[in-house]
Amino acid sequence: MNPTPTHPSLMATPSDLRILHLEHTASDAELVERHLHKAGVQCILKRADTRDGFVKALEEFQPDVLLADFSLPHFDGSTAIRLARKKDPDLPIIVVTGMLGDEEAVSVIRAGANDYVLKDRLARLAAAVERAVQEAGQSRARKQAEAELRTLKAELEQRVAARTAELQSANRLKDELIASEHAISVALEQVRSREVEVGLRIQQSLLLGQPPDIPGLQIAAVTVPSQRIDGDFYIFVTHPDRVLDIIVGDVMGKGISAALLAAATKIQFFKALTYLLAESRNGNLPDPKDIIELAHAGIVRHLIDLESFVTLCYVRLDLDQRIFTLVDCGHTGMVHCHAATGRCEVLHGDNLPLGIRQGEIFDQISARLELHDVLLLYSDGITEARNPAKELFGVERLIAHVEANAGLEPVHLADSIRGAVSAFAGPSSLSDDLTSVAIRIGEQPLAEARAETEVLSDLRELRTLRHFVRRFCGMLHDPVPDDDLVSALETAVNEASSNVMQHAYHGRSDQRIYLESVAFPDAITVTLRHLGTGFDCPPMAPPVPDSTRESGFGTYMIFRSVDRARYYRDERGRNCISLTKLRYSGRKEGSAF
Amino acid sequence: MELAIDKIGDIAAVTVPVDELDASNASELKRDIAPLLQANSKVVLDLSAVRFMDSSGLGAMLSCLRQLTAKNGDLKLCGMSKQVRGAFELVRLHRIFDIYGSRAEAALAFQAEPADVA
Repeated sequence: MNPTPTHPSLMATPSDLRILHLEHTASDAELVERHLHKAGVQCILKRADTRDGFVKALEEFQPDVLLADFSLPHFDGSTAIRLARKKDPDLPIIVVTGMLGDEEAVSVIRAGANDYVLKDRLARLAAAVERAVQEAGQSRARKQAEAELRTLKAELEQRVAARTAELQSANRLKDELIASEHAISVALEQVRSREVEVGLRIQQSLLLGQPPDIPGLQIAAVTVPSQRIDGDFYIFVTHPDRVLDIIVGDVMGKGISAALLAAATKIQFFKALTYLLAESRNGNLPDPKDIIELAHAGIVRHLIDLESFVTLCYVRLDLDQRIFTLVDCGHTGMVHCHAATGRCEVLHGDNLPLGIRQGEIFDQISARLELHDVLLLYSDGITEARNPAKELFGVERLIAHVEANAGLEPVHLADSIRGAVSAFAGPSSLSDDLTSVAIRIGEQPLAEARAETEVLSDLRELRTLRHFVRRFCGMLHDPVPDDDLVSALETAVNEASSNVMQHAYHGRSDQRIYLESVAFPDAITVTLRHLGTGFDCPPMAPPVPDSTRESGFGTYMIFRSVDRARYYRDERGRNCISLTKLRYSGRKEGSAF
Repeated sequence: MELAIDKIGDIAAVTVPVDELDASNASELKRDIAPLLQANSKVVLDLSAVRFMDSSGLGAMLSCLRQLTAKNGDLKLCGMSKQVRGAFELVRLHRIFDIYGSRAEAALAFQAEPADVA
């Protein structure tokens, strides 16, 4: 649209103004057209003289300007203006009429006309058209600008809303991140405590275990773990003819990795032992140094790769020959307290720890053992404990302590060493595990009788087990066990077996329980062995059970019935419960039990 | 298990019909004696057939005592073998139960008590 009149032309062009003229009188229409052309307004005119024609032309002709007579025979100007305005609010409308009073002029403008020109003043028309077109253009432009502004504003609002949503979602994300971070730290904490738990379980089940029951030999193994798991371990292997191998070792490092290395080391020892036993032509036991050499060959590369090493003492006790053999691989050595003199000596080897160099040859030393001699194997956590003045506990203090307490039973000796080290270290916490294995050589009791049986883990077999105990006791005659002793042993065996059937085997009735009874001159021991879940049994008698409960008497009855109840895992991984009843009331002097 | 019951007035005397009461049959006793404990308030349990009792058996005895005292009744035990007595003493339960040598003694003890007990 070009509202500016230029040179007059008869040819219609796309830029020509399209003017709709509502005019009843054809001659008036021609007059108007002539005036416009004369004034140089390039335009196409279309005349309508009825309402229908007018409405149709509004639709089809799409006028740029409307010229309308105000008074028509069958139509009226103000209606025409309203119709036109409705269709296009910006359409320039000029009333061209013959007569117009002041009142009519007002109503013309009110109806929506932009201007009016009287027919006898048509000279004004071109200028009026131009001005109206210009104003309409401006109005349109303003409206467009306003629309654009609105659009912009809407877009802005939309962007603000989008940004706000983004921020909110970022906030949510942040909250979620914080929550998940918290969850992760909780999970990590759980994993850490789980790790400690796993480490402790590895240590308890794989690395430590309980010493075996060998009549005539008292052994106590005590470990006080420091804050974290480290690689302290011991191995007990019983051989025929009262030969016992004990290995006490320490893997450098701490945590689960040290515990796993210790477990791997243990496996190498069992593997080496099994291999050498199978290879042995004359049935002789392989020497400890050879067992160590083979085990070392199996693990040395790994230890070097992992930059770790293992110190250990391997001692073999031959109780019948009263000889011990020791291989000390960079460990603490072994304290040997002689019963005859009451004095200790510390035996050391000069072997390197395991994992230092390949092809290492190990040397062993042997010495005599006498009755009531005490041997002590220990970890450097004991001698390297420091008091607040930073002094070491040291070997001298340890020896003095052992000499002063050699008369104690091994379990109490080991415990007193722990107590002495803790007292020495004072409030400063111990940084290393305190491990000690104390052994006292007792007299070999001759077994008067031995019997074994095997039952299914069916509660109906409890009766069989009780009768087994009764029959066994019935075989003994020096002295003949009295009724109280038999009842007590029967009760303890019954409760322990019942516990195994109901809990260790979780009520399964098709598993096996092995029973072995051995009678010595001063005690009868019944040992139950099973492969079910081992339970954490209290080391001593629990308190008197609460009589408001109907269960929980079993464990108490076991401890009350026998003189000693011990839970341990044997070298074949079986859970063992050994129940010992003395054959004389009170402990006999020098008793092996 | 088959439980024989003898009535002495309002006292029900029940013989525990097994020679060994352990984890294999204690729950069976608890189950089968329950109707008797519901029907009677004064109960004497005769243990003279029982040669052996373990912790599960003791648990069953406690269960009987508890059911009777809950309804203001009472339980008396009699005919304990040495082993059974030993088991009660081992866990101090002999202080909780009224224990008599024979059924007659237990019944007499019930009769001697004030009538409003049951």
